[in-house]
Amino acid sequence: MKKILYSLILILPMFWISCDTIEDDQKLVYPKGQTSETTPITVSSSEQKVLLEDYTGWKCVNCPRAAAKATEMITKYGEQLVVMSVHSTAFAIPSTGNNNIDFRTEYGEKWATDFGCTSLPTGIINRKKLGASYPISDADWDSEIQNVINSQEHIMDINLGAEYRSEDKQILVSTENVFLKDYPSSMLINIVVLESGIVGVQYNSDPNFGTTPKINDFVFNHVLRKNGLIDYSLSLEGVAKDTKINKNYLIDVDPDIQDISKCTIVVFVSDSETKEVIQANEIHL
Amino acid sequence: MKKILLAIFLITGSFNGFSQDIFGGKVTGNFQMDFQASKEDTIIGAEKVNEKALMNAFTNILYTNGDFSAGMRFEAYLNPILGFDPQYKGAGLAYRFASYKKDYLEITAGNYYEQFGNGLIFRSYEERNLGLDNAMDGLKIIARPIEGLAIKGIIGKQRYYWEDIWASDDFGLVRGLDAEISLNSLIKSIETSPFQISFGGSFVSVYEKAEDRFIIDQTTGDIFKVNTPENIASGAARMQISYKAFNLNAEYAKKGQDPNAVNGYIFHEGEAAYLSLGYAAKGLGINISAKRIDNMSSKSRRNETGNMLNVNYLPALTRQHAYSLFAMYPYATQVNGEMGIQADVIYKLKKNTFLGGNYGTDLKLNYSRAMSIDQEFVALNPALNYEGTDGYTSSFFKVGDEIYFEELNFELSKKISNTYKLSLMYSYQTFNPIAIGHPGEEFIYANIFAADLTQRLAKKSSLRYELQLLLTEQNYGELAAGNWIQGTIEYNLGGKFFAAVSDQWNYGKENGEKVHYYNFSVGYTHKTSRIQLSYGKQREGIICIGGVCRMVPASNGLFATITSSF
Repeated sequence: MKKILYSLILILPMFWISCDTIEDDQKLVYPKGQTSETTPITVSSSEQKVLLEDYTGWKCVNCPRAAAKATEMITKYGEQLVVMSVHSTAFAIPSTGNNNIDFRTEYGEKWATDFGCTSLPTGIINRKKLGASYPISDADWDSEIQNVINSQEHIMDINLGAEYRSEDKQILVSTENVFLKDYPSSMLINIVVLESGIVGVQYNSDPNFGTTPKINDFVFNHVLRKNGLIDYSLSLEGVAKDTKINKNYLIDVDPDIQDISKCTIVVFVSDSETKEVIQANEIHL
Repeated sequence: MKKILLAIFLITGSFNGFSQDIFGGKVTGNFQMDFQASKEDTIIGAEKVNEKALMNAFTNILYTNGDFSAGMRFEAYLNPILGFDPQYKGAGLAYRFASYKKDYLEITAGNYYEQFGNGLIFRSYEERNLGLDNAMDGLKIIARPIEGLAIKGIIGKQRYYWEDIWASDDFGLVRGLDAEISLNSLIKSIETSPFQISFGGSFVSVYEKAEDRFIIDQTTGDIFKVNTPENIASGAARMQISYKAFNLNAEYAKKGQDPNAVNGYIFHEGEAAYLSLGYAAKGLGINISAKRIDNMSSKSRRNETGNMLNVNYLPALTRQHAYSLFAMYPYATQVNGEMGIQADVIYKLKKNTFLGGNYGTDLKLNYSRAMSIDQEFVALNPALNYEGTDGYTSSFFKVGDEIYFEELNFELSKKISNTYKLSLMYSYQTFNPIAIGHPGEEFIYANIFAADLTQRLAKKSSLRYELQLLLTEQNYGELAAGNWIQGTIEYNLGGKFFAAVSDQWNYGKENGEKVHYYNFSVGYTHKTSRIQLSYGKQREGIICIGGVCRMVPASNGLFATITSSF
């Protein structure tokens, strides 16, 4: 009997190894949000920008420090820096303690796992690996941003136009992707909405950044919102210099957004294989 | 001459005198080296070999001490002989393992080969002639807690040439479990019953990280994403029953969604069924087999095609021929869908009868047929093809319209006298080139004959005369154009030495030179070592073993094989 029980231990793990089933409507993901409508391009760029993803959560006691660092970086680098606050991991799970405000997104959680951003606060810069991993402590953001600015090849620019359609609760985004150099690989494009100026509860351990143990009126900026268009293909193969790819997207506004006038559309293009960000840009609504 | 040969074996067969006892255990092993030197021959399509000489070699070393065993295989492809994938180039330890048995468990760490049932959902094996090796690297546990019950658990990744499979997520992780119960061993009261029955069930899951796979709508320029599942599961149930001279082997397998490069990234679920019925009595053997395969290619990398990284094995229900002209149109299992049947009858006419003569006569009749499966395709998006859809639906019992392969062959073997033994064979084959990836080409209809006469000489020596004839009105590209004839004369001395000369002549070729593919070969066996040399032309062709095939390019030159074991 004991032998049989032991043998069953062999079988048990298989119950956890199941077959993934992709539902019919998920097998082939149509380019939802892709549209032929256009809106005028109003923001142009001619410099290499850097995307700083600040992985954060309201329960993370050191995250106010990182948020302050992000603000400091914006002051220092100006329009050359795009900051995106990704509320994720167990630190971002809402509760009555923060009035159940949920800043998490499905893709933010996935990125946190994919890029190893599970110990907060942490950040990634242009999705570049630093050594063997992506996460970079907020203490090193400045030097690494500088490093990327100095070293990253300026391959392309992203020019943007955006228009909020209040009746449809949609945002029309036009992108003009201009290639200044040849790029040999396929690329992905991401279009996300960030909201700033949201007041809420944030834990804090450092009195330099607010009251402890929590800040009841903390202002959350650059909060990544739901309904972003993630990993859309920009090009299935390499692109030659002087190529211009125009793509237009319709984003359903996340109903949790409190003030659309405080929202920004961030668009970033990454390498399909390495996931490294090639260029980013943002446009305020 | 003998001294020269002995000198060669001092080098190649030096393991013969090797002490086989180490630390109370036993060491065994074997060695094989294939050497090829081929020159350019534009008439037969033999390409120039820049290296002049090519070599494949391996040696297995196995240590056994009671319930413990450990072993390794060193392989060298310097550089791979013609027809082997250039990715094999290199040398190193391709296989290593350690295994022990304790109580009711048998545990293997490292590389291993294993098969669940008939292999429909899992078979890890090596077929050197095909350049196929899907050895697992990981762990295997076999538990036999009670008599009549065996449970196998496997986990690991599969070999891919010399790639570091553990360094990349591109290679899927294979997990599996198999259980088999023999009722006759389990229940003592029926242990000796003529009615023997066993059941088995298996489950395999392959994990491979999802990928961003995009397809473009050529009409609109829109880009679509295909969501690929990460865990692909297969399950199978089987049964074996025997009663006196009758036996039955049946297995049914099912595979979950697995969009991959072989099936064109469709989500249609896979299915396979195999049934074999046999009767074996003195002088008479009958076997009837049937199978159905529907989208059952299972690999541990979704973008892989070809022979590597096969997780399962789908047998071909056709006769495996030894005579080269009979194997001119070999059948390759259609992993995306086929229905096949095969019937074998072996009958021995008794000696001292009118038909059997003084020594008896062996008769073999074989028929096989492979057809497509019925497919009702889903609506086609002309710009996207079927990718990302279910592809089609298929009725289990309905046979498709397309014939892939059909053969009727008959063989008669008869000892005529103390001096002569004769074999006669005839085959009629219908071959659809689509089965080896040549759609749109004309069907081949071939009548093939062989006569094989062995003449016993004095001093344990013999002469063998072989004549083969292939008649067809079709030309199949450069591989098999028109009629062929082949003659062979082989001298054999006591199984230790042989010399043979043969010529395969494509006398029916309508366009181009009617080429003679001559070949001279000689071989010598000394104890457990053997050396064989052949010189001549080898036509371009395909070899298939068990329905798995490999292209063999044309060559013109020397081929040598040395084997040794201890």
